[in-house]
Amino acid sequence: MFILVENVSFTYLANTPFAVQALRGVSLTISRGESVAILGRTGCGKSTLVQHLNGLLMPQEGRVVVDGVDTRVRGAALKGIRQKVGLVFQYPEDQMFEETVFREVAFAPRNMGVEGEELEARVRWAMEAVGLNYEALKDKSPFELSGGQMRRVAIASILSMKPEVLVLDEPTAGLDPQGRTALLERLQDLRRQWGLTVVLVSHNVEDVARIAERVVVLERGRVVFDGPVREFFACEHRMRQYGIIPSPLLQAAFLLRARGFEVDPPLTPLELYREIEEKVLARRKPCSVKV
Amino acid sequence: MMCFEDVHFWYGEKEDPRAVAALRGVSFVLREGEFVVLLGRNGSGKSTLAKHCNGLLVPRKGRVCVDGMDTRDESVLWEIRRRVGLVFQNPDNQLIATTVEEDVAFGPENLGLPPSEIRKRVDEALARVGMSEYRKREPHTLSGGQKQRVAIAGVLAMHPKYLVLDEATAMLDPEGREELLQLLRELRKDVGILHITHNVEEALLADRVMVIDNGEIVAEGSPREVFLVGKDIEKWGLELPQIVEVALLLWKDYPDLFSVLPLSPDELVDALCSYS
Repeated sequence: MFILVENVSFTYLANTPFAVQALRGVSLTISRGESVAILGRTGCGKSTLVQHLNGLLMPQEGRVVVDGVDTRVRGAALKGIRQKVGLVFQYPEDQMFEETVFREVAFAPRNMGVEGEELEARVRWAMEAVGLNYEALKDKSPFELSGGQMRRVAIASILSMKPEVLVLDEPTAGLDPQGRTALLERLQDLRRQWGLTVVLVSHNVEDVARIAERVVVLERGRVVFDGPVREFFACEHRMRQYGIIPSPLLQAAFLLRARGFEVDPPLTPLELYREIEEKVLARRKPCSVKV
Repeated sequence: MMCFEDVHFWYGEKEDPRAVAALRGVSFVLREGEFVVLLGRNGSGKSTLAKHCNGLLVPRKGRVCVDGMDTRDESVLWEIRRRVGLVFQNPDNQLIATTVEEDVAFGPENLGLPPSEIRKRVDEALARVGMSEYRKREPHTLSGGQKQRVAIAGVLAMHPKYLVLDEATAMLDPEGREELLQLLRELRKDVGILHITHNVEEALLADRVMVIDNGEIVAEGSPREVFLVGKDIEKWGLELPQIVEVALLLWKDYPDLFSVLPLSPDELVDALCSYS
C-alpha cells in the first residue's frame, strides 16, 4: 500500500479545558491509483485526517506511513512526503499571491530547486493537465480569471510538484456546473493518464459518484464505513444516519425499490434511465423488451 | 412589486460590450409572495443584478423600482433598503455583533424604534428562522446554515417585503442547504423571494425560474417550462436537474409516459408506477 493510517488519534488543545478530540483510532490504507472519497458531516474529522496524510499534523497516537516513511520524520524525508502528497485546501484560490499564473504555478517546484527549461516544462504540463491554455494564460494575473479558472490554477500549483497523491478538500465548492464538470473530468484524466491517486473530501454525493471508487465515512472522529461507492449508496438509512443527503437520482431509486422494483443505486442519470427501462418499464411491457 | 425596466449596467467608465458581469437590458417583475429563482453561470451578471435590487448599484440606463420608488432617488433609498433585504454568500462576512440577538437587533435599532418594539421584532424574527434557543450564542460558534438563518433573521426584523439571496447556499454543507431551502419555502407566503444560484436542483422549488446569461435574461417560466429546453441548457453554462434529465430520456422512448414533466423523485416514481 502507499499510505497507511494506523490507529491514529488526535486532539486539538489537548490537556486544556477546550480539548476537542477530532480523530479516535482511525485506521485505513490507500493504494496507488485509487480514488477514495472521505465523507461525513461538518466537524466529523475529515479535514484533520487529510492534514495527517502529508505530515501537516502528526498523530498523537498511532502512526501514518507514506511510501514506507513515517510522517514523524524530519528534514528532507518530510519534504519528500509533502512533495509526494499534494494537499489542495478548500477555496485554494484564496491563498494565491503571485503576480502571474506562471509564477503561481512555478512557486513550489522553484522552491524545490527546479529551474530553467525544466521549470517551464513543469508549469506547462501542470497547467495543461487541468485544462488551462499555457500560452494564453501564463502571463495573466491569477486574479483576472474566472472562479473555475482560478481554482484550476490553484490545483496546477500543487500538481507542478509532481505529487503521486492529490488530496482535495471540497474541490468543486462554489463552482458553477460547467466549472465543476470540467474540473472533475480533468481529475479523471489525471488518474487515467498518470496513475495519480486521488483523495477527495466532500459532502457532495454527486461529485463522489462521478469520481470515487471507494468511500470512507467518518463520524465523530471514527471510521464508520469503508467500502465500494455503490455499496455505500445502496442504503438510504445509513447515508442519512451519517449526514449524507442522497442525490435526487438515489432518492428515486430508493422510492422504486420501496415499490418493489429491484433497481440498483445509479451514479449517473444515464444509469437510472437504463435501470428504469430494464427493470420498471420492460417488466410492465414484456413484449417490448429489446434483445 | 419590484420592477426592473430595461436595466443596463457596466463596470468602468465606458460601455464595454465585452465586459463580464454587466447587464444588458434586463426587465422583470418580482411580486410579493412570489418565489423566483435566478440561475446563471459564474460571470453571467447575477450578482450585479442582485446589487441593483436595493440600490447598492444603480442602472446606467433603464430603471429599478421598488413599490414605485426609483433606486436612483436618494431620498427614498433607506426605505428601499428596509423593504429589500439582501443575504450574501459567505456566512462569516455578514454577522457583526457578539451575540445572535444583538446581531438581529442591529437593523431595527438603526430604524430608531422603541426598545419594546425592537425586542418584539428580534424575538419574532429568531422564532421565524428557528433560532430562538441560540439567541445568547456568539455567532462564530454556529454552523454555516445557522449563521445564514441568523443573517435572514436580521433582515426579517426590518419587516422587509422582498428578500434577495445572492448564492446564499453556495458555502453550506448539504444539511445546512436543506435547512435554508426549507426556511425559504416557509417564508415565501410573507415576502417576495429572489434566490440567486447556479444549483439547478434548487430551481425546482420556485414559482418561476429566470436564466441569466451574458447579462441578459435568456429564459423565463415555471421550472417545468424552462427545463423543457433539455440539453440546450448547457449553452448557458448550466445542467439539467438530475430527475429532469432522466425523465426527458424516458420521454423520448415512451411519449405517453408523462402528462407533465416530472421534477422530483416522487413525481417521477408516481408517474412510472401509474403507467402501464
